[in-house]
This record gives sequence, C-alpha cells and structure tokens, in this order.
Amino acid sequence: MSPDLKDVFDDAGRTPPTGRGYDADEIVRRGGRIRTRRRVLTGAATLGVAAVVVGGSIALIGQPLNRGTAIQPGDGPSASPTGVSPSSSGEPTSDATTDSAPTPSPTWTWCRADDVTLTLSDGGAAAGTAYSVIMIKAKPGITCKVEGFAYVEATRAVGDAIGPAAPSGESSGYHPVIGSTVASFLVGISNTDNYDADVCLPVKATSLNVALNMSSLGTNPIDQRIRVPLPDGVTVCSGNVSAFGNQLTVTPIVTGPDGQ
Amino acid sequence: MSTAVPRDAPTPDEAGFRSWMAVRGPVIRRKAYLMTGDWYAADDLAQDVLVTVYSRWTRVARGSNVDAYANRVLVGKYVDSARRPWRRETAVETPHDRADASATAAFDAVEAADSRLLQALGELTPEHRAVVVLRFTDDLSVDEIAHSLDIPAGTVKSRLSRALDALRTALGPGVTTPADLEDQP
Repeated sequence: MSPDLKDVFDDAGRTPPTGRGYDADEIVRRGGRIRTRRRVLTGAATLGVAAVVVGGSIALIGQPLNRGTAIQPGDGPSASPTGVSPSSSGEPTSDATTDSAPTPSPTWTWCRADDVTLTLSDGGAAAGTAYSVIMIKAKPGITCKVEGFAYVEATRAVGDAIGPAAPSGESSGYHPVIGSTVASFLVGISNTDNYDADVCLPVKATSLNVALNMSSLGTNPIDQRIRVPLPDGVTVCSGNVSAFGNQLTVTPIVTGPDGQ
Repeated sequence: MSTAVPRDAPTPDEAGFRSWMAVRGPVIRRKAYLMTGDWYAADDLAQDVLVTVYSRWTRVARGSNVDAYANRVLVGKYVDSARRPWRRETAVETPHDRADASATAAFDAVEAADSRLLQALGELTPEHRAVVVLRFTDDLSVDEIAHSLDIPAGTVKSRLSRALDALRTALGPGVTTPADLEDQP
C-alpha cells in the first residue's frame, strides 16, 4: 500500500540529533532583556508624551509632515531628503492604536511599490535610539491597504544589506488603508555605541530598503523594495548583535502622518 | 573577584513560559527543521522564535492563542530568513561550530533519513512550504492556518493546493494525498 503524505510528514524530523538544540536559559535571558528594554522604552514614551502635552507643543504633532522628501521606488541614494527637523513627539509606543481604523473593503488591494511614495523625516531620539518617521502616501487615484509591519533593512551605497532586517512584530490584523489618508511608522536605529565595537563592526548605511505587504504579495523583496536614502548616512552594525537586542526596529504601521 | 549570585526563583511569568516551552518547544523545533531542512538552522530559528514569544509572554499568554502566535512568529522569521540571500553581506567572526566532524556526521545521518521529503519541500517557495508544514505537523485546518498567519483563507487554500501538487510531483506516484485534502481547491 502506498504511503500517505501525512505519514511521510509524521515520520520526518522525529529523531533530532543529540548534542545541540535550543538553550532554554539563554532564551529566558534574551527574552527577559527585550522585555526590560521594552518597558524602559514604553516608560520613556509615556514621559515624552506627557512632556509634550505639558509644554503646550502638542500642536506640532498635528502638523502635516512636509519637511521630508518624497521618495519614489527605485530612487538611488543621490535623492537625499532635505529640510529634516526633529519631531517633538519622541519615543514610539509599542502597540498600534486601532480604534479609529477604517473598515477595509475586500476590493482594496495590497499596495505595491509602484502605488506609493515614501517620505522620511526625523522622529526624534531617546534611550540611545534615533527614530525616523516613514510616511506612506498613495499616488493619485490609488487606494490600497498595507500590512501591519513593513520590511526594513539598512543598506550600503551599492545596495548591499547590512545586518538583519528589523523584526516584524505581532500583527493585529489591522490593515491601514491609504488613499485620501496617509499611513506611517517609525524606524528605530539603535546607536552603535550601545554595542561592543568588536561585535558590532560599525559601517555607514546610506539608505533603508523598505518593502510593504511582504506576506500578502508573496513576492521577493527585490521586486518591491523602495530605497529610502538616509540624510548624511547612519552608522550601523554589520556584525550580529542580535544577542544584545535588535539594532533596527519598526513600529506597526498606523493611519496618520507621524508614525504613532 | 566575582561572586556567584544564587538565581532567584522564576517569576510566575517565567515558570509559565518554561512549562509551555517544555511541551511546545520540541514541536517548534521540528517545524523549523521541516521548513529550513537543516537542524542547525532549525535550532537557531527555534531559539529566535522562543525568545520572541517570551519577550511578549505576558500579553500573549493573557489574551490569545499562544501556539498561533508562535506559529506566526515562526513563519515570519522563516520566510524573512529565506528571502535574505539577495545581495546579503554578513560578517562572520568565528568558524561555524559544525567543524566538529562527529557532530557533522550525526547531523548528516539524521538529515539523510528525511532527505526525500526535504528535497521535495525544497522545491517549494518559503510561503508554500510554511503552509504545508503547518498543515501536516499541527493538523491545522485552512481557517486555523489563516488565523495563525493573519492571511486570508483563500491565500492559504491556494498555497496549500499548489504545494500539494508540487509535492505529489516531487515524491512520485508512490505517495498518496490524504482523502480530506483532495477536496482542497
């Protein structure tokens, strides 16, 4: 009798080799460090927002972001943004606010690289991390939706990726729709001074590669990437520093221009 | 001089996570192996997934299906890593520990036993491979996979259907598809 495909799967991988595996204590240590760091960042964000409110400068958050430069898919590093000024909004929060989310129509398709323009602007800095706001705007006549997290990695001038991509967070199933409204998210780049130089192996990144809707489009990122130049470049780690936390992070994509 | 500090008793959070990891960790490791086709890569992937799950354990354990969350993290990290080779630059500081000849032989022997299936799975895209691994290792339905991965059920059906077609071709007529999957579009 012919074997069933399920039987073939059931038999596979049943006898892992001894002598290696995951390390439970190391997992708890690393996970614990990330939890601690997240609590610190969340606390800093709360303080930052409170400071903004108390300082009466909350109006700045509502201003349209016109200080960056629109970046088209495939733009090279020569298209450097200008006029970037720091935002007073400070730290990102770890969770997207979804209360005001529009209800996606089933007819709206996933945004592709050619459907959007991205605009980079300064998002402030806190706790050894510099934040940039990336605003996603649909081209005229287009309405489309985006997944909860963008794929983001740092690159050299020639386009080589440096270090790991920013890890995607937990998707809430919330898919911001852009058309008449914009969406945005924050990219955090941790200062290389936070890491041992021998492990970090710092190099200069000149741009970010951003790809939207990686899961839903099911395409190779090389087809959907949008190169977003970093003004003056940013020093990042080329070594693997993941044991000490992610150097590159992204917040969930939310509706609105300020990434929060 | 450094002094060893006795480790504190685990918090309830940590104890809960360790209990869950003791049961589900090996399953995640096996799924990682079927996705990556390599025990070394699988161990690294499983470790990354478990770190992520523990980093969000309080919220994950409180309100949602932990296994579904772990599957989402697993597939996300796997697909991400599988897509990474394009023009990648990686700094390698130390030789791979696979230089240990006896360990290499042990790993190769284990992988050889599964080689036919792994070779067939290797023909699939990462997204198709992930869906078919979840279907067969966790016995998840199309809807459950869709929920786990936060993608439409239609996408799961389509990926599963194509993956099964490709596996049937790769494994030959000697392997049959379970009857309940013949209804998949």
